[in-house]
Order: sequence, then C-alpha cells, then structure tokens
Amino acid sequence: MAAFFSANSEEESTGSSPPVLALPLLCAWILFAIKVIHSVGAIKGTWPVYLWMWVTGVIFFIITYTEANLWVLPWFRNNVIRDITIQWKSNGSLVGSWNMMVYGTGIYLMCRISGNQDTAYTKKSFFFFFLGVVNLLFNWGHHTYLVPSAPWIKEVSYIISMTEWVIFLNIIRSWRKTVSDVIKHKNLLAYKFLFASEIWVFLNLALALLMSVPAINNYTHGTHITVAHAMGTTIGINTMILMASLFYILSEIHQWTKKELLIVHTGFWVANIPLLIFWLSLIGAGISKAYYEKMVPNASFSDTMTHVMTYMYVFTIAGFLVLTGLTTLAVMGLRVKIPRE
Amino acid sequence: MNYKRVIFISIIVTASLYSYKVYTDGTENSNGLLTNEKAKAGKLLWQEYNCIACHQLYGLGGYMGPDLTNEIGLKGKVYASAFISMGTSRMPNFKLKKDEVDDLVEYLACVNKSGEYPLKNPGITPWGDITISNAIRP
Ligand code: HEC
Repeated sequence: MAAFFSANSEEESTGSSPPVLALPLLCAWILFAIKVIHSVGAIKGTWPVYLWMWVTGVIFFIITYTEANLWVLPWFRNNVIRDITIQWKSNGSLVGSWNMMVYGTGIYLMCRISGNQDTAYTKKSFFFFFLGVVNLLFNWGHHTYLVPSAPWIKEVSYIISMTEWVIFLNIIRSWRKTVSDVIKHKNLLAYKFLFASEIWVFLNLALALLMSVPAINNYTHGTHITVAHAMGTTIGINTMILMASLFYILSEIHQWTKKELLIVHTGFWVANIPLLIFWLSLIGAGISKAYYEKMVPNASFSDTMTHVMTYMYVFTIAGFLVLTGLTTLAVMGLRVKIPRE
Repeated sequence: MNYKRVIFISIIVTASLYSYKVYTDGTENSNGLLTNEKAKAGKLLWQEYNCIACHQLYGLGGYMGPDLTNEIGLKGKVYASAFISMGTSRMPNFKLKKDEVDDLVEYLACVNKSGEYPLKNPGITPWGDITISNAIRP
C-alpha cells in the first residue's frame, strides 16, 4: 500500500523521469492492477460505483503512465508539437486516473461510515462516474489550449470540461444535506476529513472550471494558478481523503484519549487553514505573473519575479505550517499500536 | 462475456481510438519537426538535464526560469548559448561541451519555429474560445 501511495507523488511532477526508472514502476503498477482486478473481478452481481472507479482508475493509470513515456520513441519526440501535446495529454489523464481511485475511496468511506450502501448504487452516482470517465479521456486538452496543435483537440476539451459544471452545481444543491451529515457524525474523525475534502473539491473545481475557458486560460496558463490548481487538488482533496481512510481504520482499532483527540483536531486545522492561505498566495502569485507577463509590455523576467516573490514568501510560510499539520496527523496515526489477533 | 467486461473494453477502445487520432491527425504540425540530427540530439539532452523543471515551453513546465518557446527568435542563438554554457547565479552550469550546447540551441531553434508563445494577438471569440492564427500552417 505504501508503495502504491508514494508512486503518485513522483508522477505528479511535470518532469519526464528517465525511462529506466519508469520500467520497474510500471511493472509494480501492473502487478498491483492484476491484484485489484483479480480480487474485484471475483465480486459477482452489481458493483457499487466505487469498484468501477477503482478498476477504471487502475487500468488508466497504467495506460497513461505508458503514454507519458512514449517520448522514448523518435516518432513521438521528434515533433515538438506532438511531444508537448502527448506529454500533457498523458499527465492530465494520469492525474485523472489517480483521482478516480481516490474519489472511489472517498465514496467507499462515506458508505462505511453511514452504514448505508445505497448511494453507491444510485443512477446519479453512475452518471457522475460516467462523467468522470469522459473527462478523464477528453478534458486534458485544456492544458494545451495555447499549443498550436489541431483546433478540434481544444474544442473537444473545452466542451467536455464545461460538463463539470454539473458536478459543481450538484455540490451546491446537496450542500445542506452535506452539512447536516457533518453535524450528525461530528464526533467521527474520518468524517471531518471527508468534509474538508469536499470543501477543497468545491474550491478547486471552481478554479478548474474558470481555467478551462480558453479566454481565461490565456492569462492563467503558465502561471502559479496552475500550481494552485495542482497542489490544491493533491493536498486538499487527495490527502484529506487518504487521512480520512487512515483515521477511519485507526478509529476501528483504537480508543482515542481526550488528549490525542485534541492533538488530531489541532493538526486538522493547522493543515487546512494555512492550506487555504497557501492556495490563495499561489493564485495571487499567478495573477501577478500574468499581469506583468501579459499586460505590461517589456517587463523583464526578473522584474516579474520580484513581484511574484512577495507571494512566494507567504506561500513558503503557509506551506511550512501545512507540513507541520500533516506531520502531526501522520505521527498521531503511526503511534497507534495495531493489536495482534 | 459479461457486461462489465464489455463496458471496460469499450472505454479502453474509445481511449485508444481517440489517442490514435490525436497522435496522427491532431499533432501533425509540420512546423514542429526536428529537422536535423543536432536538434534531435538536443532534444535528448533537454530530457537528460531536465531543463523543463525550471523552464517552460508553451507555458508548460517549471517556473524558476523564463519560458523558452521563442527564445531563439527573440534573443538569438549566441545569447542562448552563453546562458546554456555558463549558467548564472540562478541557473546551474551543466558543464556541457560546446557540441552539446549547440545541439540544445538547435533544438530550441526548432521549438521557436513551431509556433508563438505567449500569443500577442489571441483572437477571442464571444463564446470564450481563442483562435491561434498560426495553428497548423500549410
Ligand atoms: C535550476 C533551474 C534551471 C535549470 C535546470 C535550467 N535553467 Fe535555464 N535558466 C534558469 C534561470 C533561473 C534563468 C534566468 C537566469 C537569470 O536571469 O539569471 C535561466 C535562463 C536560461 C536561458 C536564457 C533565458 C533568457 O532569455 O534570459 C536559457 C537559454 C536557458 N536558461 C536554457 C536552459 C537549458 C537549455 C537548460 C537545460 C540544459 C536549462 N536552462 C536548465 C534556471 C534553470
């Protein structure tokens, strides 16, 4: 499991890690996929939506990971436009596949906590799963609006990206229910993390939707706003769902003392409040970079960087606090002794 | 065959067909071809030294250094070679051989020919789309 989670952080980076390193990682993923498909495949009857999400996520992780390394073939790398387009096609879908697995885990946890599996079988859940798959396959083009590839690639992703408004409106619509569920389960640690992840989904989706409009993307592209989007999603959504899973499992086997609970709750806030500042400072840095690069004629690179730096100080301090919060949570988690049966 | 397998296979087939279309039809931009062996070697060096960790092409990459899409067009080969061979206080000196520096510069020259970034005159349509005038020149 640890290898499974750590594999992602390396791949999130925009980089192109050497293909020699890629092979063992790919093998590890294929083995993992076989294991998942084998155990899930054995489950007969109608699947809850999270099983669909896990299997789809794992399959596409392998496909897109392979795609990200296609540049080793000359046909791919010897055309600048093809190389860049595919690099971002694969990276976009790779993150999408990962998110599919993590969101599946989120839904699974919701079902376990509420003791009610119904939501995992509704038409609505399957509709959103389907919407997720379509976006995973086609919306990556919003990274490459400004790359001179064929216009239809961008039109497809513009249209597909806009379907995510449906998800956004759904979050707003079911907001009251979400809040009442939080109150109902307020003494459950896992729920607190799930609720935080939901707020982060809301914020990052709003940002993603705006960035997917080409006319806005023309300004936000190539700035720290992209980083805000990537980090907000990774830390805000994914880490909170993984923390929720961790604390859900731990709470099953461990009776938290008052003092421990206090530390975990503090850690929760120390991770989330600075994360908001961290996220906003990246957006600020991005707006400032966009302004100097695209609106002020002849602003030099170092001029721009001087203006961006102010935000980056705030970003660094906030980032340090986020790390402190998350470390506190991880340490509290690791201290729990797993009983031997 | 059960219906689950059919669904998964259809999703994978759709993905493959779309990818094929993107690889061939969508990115067949002949402006972006690496036309000579030096540029091709340059691309490999670009990967090896991970220049993209600090630089961007078409706004994609790390933000420590400037975007290099039109570096050669705007500043010229001599200027770029100087930076690449010597580094600065903020860019590492990779201690590259003269040949390797030339290869990287040739690569950047091909990138420069592939298009323009940032767009000076994006054509913004009423529905929020933008048209890139130089997208796929004949
Ligand atoms: C550690 C980050 C880093 C890496 C890696 C890096 N650069 Fe740079 N590069 C910079 C920074 C920062 C500048 C701006 C330098 C300055 O103004 O002092 C720069 C400037 C340049 C410039 C001049 C840009 C201009 O218009 O002034 C070129 C050309 C360049 N780099 C090419 C490369 C190439 C080619 C590679 C890979 C072999 C590379 N760089 C790797 C950080 C980096």
